[in-house]
Amino acid sequence: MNSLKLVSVNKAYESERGRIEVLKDFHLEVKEGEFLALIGPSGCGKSTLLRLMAGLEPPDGGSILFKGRPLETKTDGKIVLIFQEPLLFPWLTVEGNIGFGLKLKGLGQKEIKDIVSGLLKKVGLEGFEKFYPHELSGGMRHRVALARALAVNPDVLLMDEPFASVDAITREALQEKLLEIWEDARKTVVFVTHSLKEALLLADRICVLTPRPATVKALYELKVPRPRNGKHSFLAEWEWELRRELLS
Amino acid sequence: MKFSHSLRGMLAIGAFLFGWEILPRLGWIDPLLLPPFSAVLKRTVELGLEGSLWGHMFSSLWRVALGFALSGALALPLGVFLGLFKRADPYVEPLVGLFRPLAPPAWIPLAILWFGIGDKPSVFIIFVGTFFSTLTGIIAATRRLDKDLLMVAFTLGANLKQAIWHVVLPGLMPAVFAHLRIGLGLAWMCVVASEMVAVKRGIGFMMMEARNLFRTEDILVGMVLVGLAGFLMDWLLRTLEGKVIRWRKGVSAHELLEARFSQ
Repeated sequence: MNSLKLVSVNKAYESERGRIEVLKDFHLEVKEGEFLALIGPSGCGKSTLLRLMAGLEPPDGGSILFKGRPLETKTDGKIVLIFQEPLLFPWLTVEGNIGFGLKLKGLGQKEIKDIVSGLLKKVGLEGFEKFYPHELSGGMRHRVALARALAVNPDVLLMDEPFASVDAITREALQEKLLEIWEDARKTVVFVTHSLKEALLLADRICVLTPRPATVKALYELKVPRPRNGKHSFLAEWEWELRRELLS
Repeated sequence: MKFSHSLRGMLAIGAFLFGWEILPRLGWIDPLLLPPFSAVLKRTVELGLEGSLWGHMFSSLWRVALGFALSGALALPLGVFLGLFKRADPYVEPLVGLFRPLAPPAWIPLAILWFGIGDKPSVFIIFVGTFFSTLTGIIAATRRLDKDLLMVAFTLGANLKQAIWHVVLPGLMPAVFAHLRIGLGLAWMCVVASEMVAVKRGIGFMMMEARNLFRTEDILVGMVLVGLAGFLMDWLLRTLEGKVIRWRKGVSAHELLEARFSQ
């Protein structure tokens, strides 16, 4: 079954230097529970695509369906977007940040505390409840952002190069954490990345986009069991294949 | 660290008072024009015991509190609203631009005409003297807010009201306190100016009367009290700010610069 379906979606931005078409006649189906990686040249419209799928902006034309029904601009936390930067609320503690969405829903203090402490354990941040974002390392902030998104129990997690700004080792740890959580909760994940390797390590399907205006250039299905790692010889082969596809 | 900070403050004030005491006593400054600090201090105690000082002080405090509260209560929400909804901008901006440069004393004749003599014109002058400055400051601060955190709130399911309440307002807190402090300083300037003409009580009135009677000590008593009251109220605001905005600690540029250049 489809989770998100984009049909003939158009999106353009007006700028001082004229009109920029970001998406043109864009089609994509995201299956429920899958881990889909989006890869494409920089500036091809991946972030725009995610904002549209998150209901943060409406498309200019075409339609976006969520579970077969038109996507509304207010998604009630069913579809949550995680940004490149953690974007934690600086005035809230770790606890407050993770519980933010739950408070919006009007949950009681006790309930929020229970859910938050479970998530703290899941992302390995026990003992940091009372810390403010500026007191955390980059990797920890990303984990808080992840926990904050998971707290509202979304059906779909959209991730916009979420680990692009951290070092390689932290990134591997975050990737592992994400896979662990995904395998545990089986949410639909759409994951934008620049890294072919990251896509190959994580995704069920890899969607390669063209330069702007973006369309789907190729879709690969990876039926390789996880956990995958650098030792798998398939990775190198796929990486070549993908690289050729991206550069052609 | 905290202790040595206030210690240094006291040291600076002490040095200033010492100069104030010694210069008239040495005859370098005519004591009739600037009586030494000890004389002013003595006069403050006298006036305090005599009782008339409290009435003046209380009147000024009351006017500042009222005018400042009214102006803040209106300027803060209106500033946030105008900052968020730009559609009103073409109407509001020229109006505010016209009113803001009018110095508070420029309102005094009109204030007397409208409200007569007493608390009302004074409160009115404090109001107009602080309102436009706070309003423009809050509008600008609201416009400077990043959209990113709002997007986070929306994606987590916030509606418009929640986004404003939980994201816009907390994000504005540093600016709100900055402008409250500026406004409070302005309010004290306004109250003294207005009391010199529009009322029959208050520190400003006391000072003007003292000038007519050539009692320089009493003028200085008024100045010291205004300075002290303004300082204390600012200290209160800063303390409150420190309680509300704990999260700003360790983020400001000056902290890095201090750590880097103080060996």
